[in-house]
This record gives sequence, structure tokens and C-alpha cells, in this order.
Amino acid sequence: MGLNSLIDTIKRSIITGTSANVKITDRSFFAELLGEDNNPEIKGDESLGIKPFWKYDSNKRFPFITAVFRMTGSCFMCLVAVFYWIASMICWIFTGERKSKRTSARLNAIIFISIIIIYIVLIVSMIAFLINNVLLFPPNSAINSKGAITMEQPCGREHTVFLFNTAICWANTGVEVLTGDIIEITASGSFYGRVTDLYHRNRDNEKLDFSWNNTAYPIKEGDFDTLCIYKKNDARFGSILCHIHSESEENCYDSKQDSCNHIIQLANGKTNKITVQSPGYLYVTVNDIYLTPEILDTIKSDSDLQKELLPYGHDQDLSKACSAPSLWFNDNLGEILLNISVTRHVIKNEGASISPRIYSYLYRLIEQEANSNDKWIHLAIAIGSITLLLSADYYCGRLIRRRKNRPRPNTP
Amino acid sequence: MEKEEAKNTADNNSSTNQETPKVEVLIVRHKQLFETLKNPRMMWRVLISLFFIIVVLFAGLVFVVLSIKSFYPYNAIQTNLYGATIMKTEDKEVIYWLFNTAELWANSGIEVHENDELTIRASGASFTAIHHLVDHAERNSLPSDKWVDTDGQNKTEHRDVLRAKYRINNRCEEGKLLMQIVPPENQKNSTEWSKNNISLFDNKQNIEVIGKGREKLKIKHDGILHFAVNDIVLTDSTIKEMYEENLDSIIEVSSQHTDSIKEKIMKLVRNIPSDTTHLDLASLKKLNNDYFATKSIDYSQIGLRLGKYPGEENGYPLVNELIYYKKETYYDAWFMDNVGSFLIVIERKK
Repeated sequence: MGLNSLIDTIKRSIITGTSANVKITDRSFFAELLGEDNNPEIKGDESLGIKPFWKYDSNKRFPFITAVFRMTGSCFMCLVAVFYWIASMICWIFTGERKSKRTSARLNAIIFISIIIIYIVLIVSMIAFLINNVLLFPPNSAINSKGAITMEQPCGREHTVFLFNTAICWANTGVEVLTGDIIEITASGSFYGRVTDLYHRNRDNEKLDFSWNNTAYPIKEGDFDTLCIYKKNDARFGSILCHIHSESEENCYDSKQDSCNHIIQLANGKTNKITVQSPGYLYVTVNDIYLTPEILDTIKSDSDLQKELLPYGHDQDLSKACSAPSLWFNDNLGEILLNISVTRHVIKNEGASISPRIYSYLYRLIEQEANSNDKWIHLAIAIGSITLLLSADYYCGRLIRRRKNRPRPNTP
Repeated sequence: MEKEEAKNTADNNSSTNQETPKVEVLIVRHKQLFETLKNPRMMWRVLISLFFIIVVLFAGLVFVVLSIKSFYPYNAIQTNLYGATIMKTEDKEVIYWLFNTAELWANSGIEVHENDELTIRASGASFTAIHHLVDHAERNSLPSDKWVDTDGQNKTEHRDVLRAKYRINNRCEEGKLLMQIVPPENQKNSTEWSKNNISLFDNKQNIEVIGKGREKLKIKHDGILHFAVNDIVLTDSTIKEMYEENLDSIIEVSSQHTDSIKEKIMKLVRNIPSDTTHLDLASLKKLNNDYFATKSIDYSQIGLRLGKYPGEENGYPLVNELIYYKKETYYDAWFMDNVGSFLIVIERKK
């Protein structure tokens, strides 16, 4: 039934039933809005529901949780109250009238309509983000100055492929990272740490001193692991090392030095995740022996070590190694194909997109959790925790109610 | 009367005028909204509720997008633990992985399922024996072997023709790229080989020849892809057969035509343990000295042309490299001298 037919019905029923004068006033919403302003029925802090700030009502089904929600709401309303206070101050400055604007229908209408418009914009931008920046994200790729191919992914992710020759000590991948970025590295390929072995041992049909280092399998502990660049307890000869520093900084050759304690050893056969602590470029190398003067002295003073490291003699030539400390990298044979995925901490605003970056962060968070192997465990923990909390709250409330309702003994 | 009537009329008129009721009907449109606006607590509750609805809507849309992406991936890139990169689109996946030819049955970590259709190609080159490469390079001579691609090379030297039957695939060229689908529980997870795990890879039915490339290869069962180049795996049975064949050639050339000698030798070879502490080469050396210690025959050019036992100058040809490999369980000895890598690219249709 339309409003006009309703008016007609009222008119007919009143006019036919009475000889009274009938006046029908049809006030529009805006007319009413511009008329009466404040609601005198609601006063003070009751209008925003700030007080009482904390109220534990044991009659509620979940009294504690209700009280916490109430308190959270009150905290938010305190901020809203400040806004209303500012509005009433502005009104006082211009009109001289000091009146609380909390129950002002006009002011609240402006706030309400503005926020609804913001919500509509949020929904539209959300849909635009999911369609443009996620579902239909264009497959952009680029090649950096070091020959690595970088393929862009939605929401601030990049995937880079780099072929690394193990004879190079600290190869620059060209991948620039900033603080907070997360790098994930996997590798394929193998290398051998001493090409002379490959020649002599195979020529003489002898077993190699050590196996080809394959990035897929864990490396066994060796006798000279602690002579290599990475010297910590878990050091392994032939592992892949990463270091992030600017191009102007020197490379590190001893992880025990303070300036070099950010060298990271990657585990074979696993996805290695690194959170970048300081900005720079990603450098990689294999964990091999870098012939610093200290290392040379260690080798020269240990005859067993000399036999193991110099099985073909020529130990007298070691003295020349001072001028070429990366000598023992040159005899590495093999390439490693590195897959470097970077999840950017700060997401660039793509072109003319109006979508705020917050959408990218939230999308990444949800996607990470959805793709996680432990998602069902996390969900079970979350549901279990909520159920426990609600149950505990319910039973506590019930206990309190029972104590309150227990009849008190009559006092003489 | 008239006055009375007039008065009555006037009285009637005045009383009528006084008694006429007035009904005023006030219609306010959207009264409920107006009341809400006058009650700020109610209004802010509505706004906060709408905000939470939008948050839930966003989460719901994200899950819808993730579901769409899982069915229709577009520009999705993943990597597995073994470094293989998988690029997904709606109708296919493209996977690439770097394979070093020195490894026997290298684990790519690429999972395949029954009835998957794969197209496999590779780029790169491999050389079968680095020591030959270095020797020929030193002498500035052309090596008999070549740098080859995944198609391998057909070797026609007598020794290679004899050895061909011992390769993983005895009908294919040496160095040809081969693939095997291994059940996940048996996949390779270490560089070391043992008698148990080498036997798991010995199933010829499982092995697919890739060579230059394979198109629309149908997968027969679930498993993980492993790769190797076609060469000889030195299992105990292969060593025994090769040793026996070589021994036959040696006996024939040295005109020691007695089966009893062969039986004696083979018994010793069969009993060679995979344990360095109990190796007894002395008996083999004695037999060698008794029957084959002649300088007029170059046994290194006879039969399979086996190499010497490392560190043992005496005892050849009976004490040869095969004895060493058996003792050391060095199953992949003839893979370890390969150099070169192949970038394997696999396209899988969905």
C-alpha cells in the first residue's frame, strides 16, 4: 500500500466518521531533520553508552565476554565523544550557544550519510582490487642487470630465477630487498668442490673424496666445515650462503666477524625463509674455504689438514694464495638454479589503482593462511579456544548467579 | 422569537464553533531512521555493524577469489623443495628444473599422477668423462666422446658396443636422458646409494626414454619424477655379468680354455664383500699371476677394456676396477665423471 493511498484511507476513515476538521501534515524526512534537532529524552553519557565503562552482569549468558565487548565499545565511543565535543565547540564559537551535539539529528545524519558513502567506496574498491590486482593481475616480467628474470605476482610478490655458477665467490643476484621483506629460496642443481678430484680420481677409477653437492639433499658433516666462510656450529662445506648488503659494501668472508654475522646458510632440500634486516642486494655463494691469512696459517700448521686439502701436493704453492684468496672457489664445477621469491613488506601502489594497500596485506594474510599446511590445526585451535572461553564464561556466570540467588540465613 | 432564534442560532453557532474538534494527522517519512539518528548510540551500533559486515564480505570475497584461482590459476608460480618451479595457467602447468648429469636418478620433487599427460623437453649439454676431456685438451686432440644434448651419442667403438647391453636402457644411446616415476615412499633423499635403495630403482618397466623430448607422455601411476642419463649402474649383478664377460674374453685371448679356472675366479669375485676389512685380493692376484701374467698381451685392450684397481699395480686383469666398485658399493661410479647440466622443462596439461 503506497503512502498516498494510506493518506486517502486515513482521510476517508476520519472524515466519514466525524465532523471534525482534519489536517494531514505530510512531512518529508529532510523537513523533519531540519526542524527539531536535539532529542531531549536522552541525556549525557547515556546517549553514547560510555557509562558504565565496565559492567559485569551475571544475568547475561556470557557475562565476562559481554562486559569485554561493552568495554571495547565504550573505548570506541570515547573517541566518538571527543568528536562530538569538538563539533559542539565549533558550534559555540560560531553561534554562542553551548549545546551538546550528540543527539543532534542533523549532525548525525551528516555523519551517517558520509560513512555510508565511505562504505560504498570501500566495497567498490575492494571488488576492483580483487578483480584487477588479483584475479586478472597481468604477468609482468623483467630482467635485471645481473641476468635474473623477475616475474611479478599479485600483492607485492616477486619470483626471480637466477643461474649461479659455483666458481663465483659472492655472486650478486641483482635482487634488491628492503627491511621487512621476506625472501624464500629454493635451488636445483649440483656442484663439485674440487675439479682436480674429478680428473684424477675418475682417471684412476677411484671413489671421489666427497659426493657431488646436490641442493636437494642434506650435507654430511665434514672435517673442514669450520674453515669455510660460514663457520658456525651447523656449518657445512658446500652449502649455499646468502648475504644482503649494499653494492658499495665489501663482501664478508668470515661469519665469526661482527660485521658478517648476518650471513645465512641455506638448508638443502627445504624452502629457506629469510626476513630482511637491512636493505641491500642479495648475494650468494657456496660455503667453501676462502684463503685468508689466518686460514692459510691453520692449514700450514696442520699436516693432516694439508694432506686432505692438498691431496695432489703443491702445498708450497699455498703461499701464493695470499694474493688470490678465492682460489679454491675457481675449482668448483657446477651451476645452481636459484628460485628467489620475495614478499615485499611495503607494497608499491600499482598505477592508477585506487585500492588501498591494506587490501594487499589482508589478501596476503588470508592467502598465506589458506595455503598453509597447518590451516586446519589453526582453525581447530581457534574454535577450541573460543568454545573453552565461552564455556568457562557461561559456567562462571552461572555460579555467580547461583550464589546471588541462594537464600540468606535469617539473622536473629 | 427572532431574537431567541437569533440568540438560539447564535448560541447554537457559538456552541458549534466551540465544540468542533480538530484532528491533525502528522506523517513523518522514515521515522525509524530519524529516531535512530536522534539516538547516537543506536546510530553508531548500526555503523559498526555495517563495518563488520564489510570486513566479513571482504574475507568471503577473498575466499571466493582463492577458490577461483585454484580452479583457474592465472600467472601463479610455485616452487617445490627441490628447486623445481611450477607456473600454472588455467589449462596447463609449465615446470622447469636443473638436472646435473653426474647424478644417478636425481630427485626433481615433481609429483605426477596417473593419467597425467606430460610434454618434456630439455636444453643443455653433457660430457661423459671429464678425465678424457682434460686429457684430450692437454694433448690438443679431439676426444672420442662429444658434448651431447639429451639425445645422447651412439658410440661405435668395440668396447662401447660390448658395454651397451649393461646400460640402464640397453637399446638407447649412451647419455640419453631417462626418466623414472618413483613412489613417494621410495624417492631418493640422499646422495648415497645402498643395496636396498638402488634395487628400488632397478625396475626397467618404470623407465621412460626422454631423449630429445617426449610429447603427450601418459603417466601410468602416481609418483615423483627422477632423472638420469643412460649409462651403466654398477650393481652387484651388473658387475658379475660384466666381469664374467670380460673374463671370457681374457681366457679366450690367453688360450686358457678351462672352465675350472673361470669357475674358481668367479667364485672369488662373487664372494667379494662390500667390506674393506675382509677383502682378500691375494687369491685373485695369485690366480692372475698363475694364468694371466704375460707381458705379450695388453689386457686393457681386451673385452670390455676395464681399468685397473686403484692403487694395485699387480693383479690386472683379474683385479680390476669392477672389483673395487663392488668392494666400495660404488654403484654410480660411471656417472660421477659426467659434467654438464640439463634444464628440463615439463608441460602438464590439466
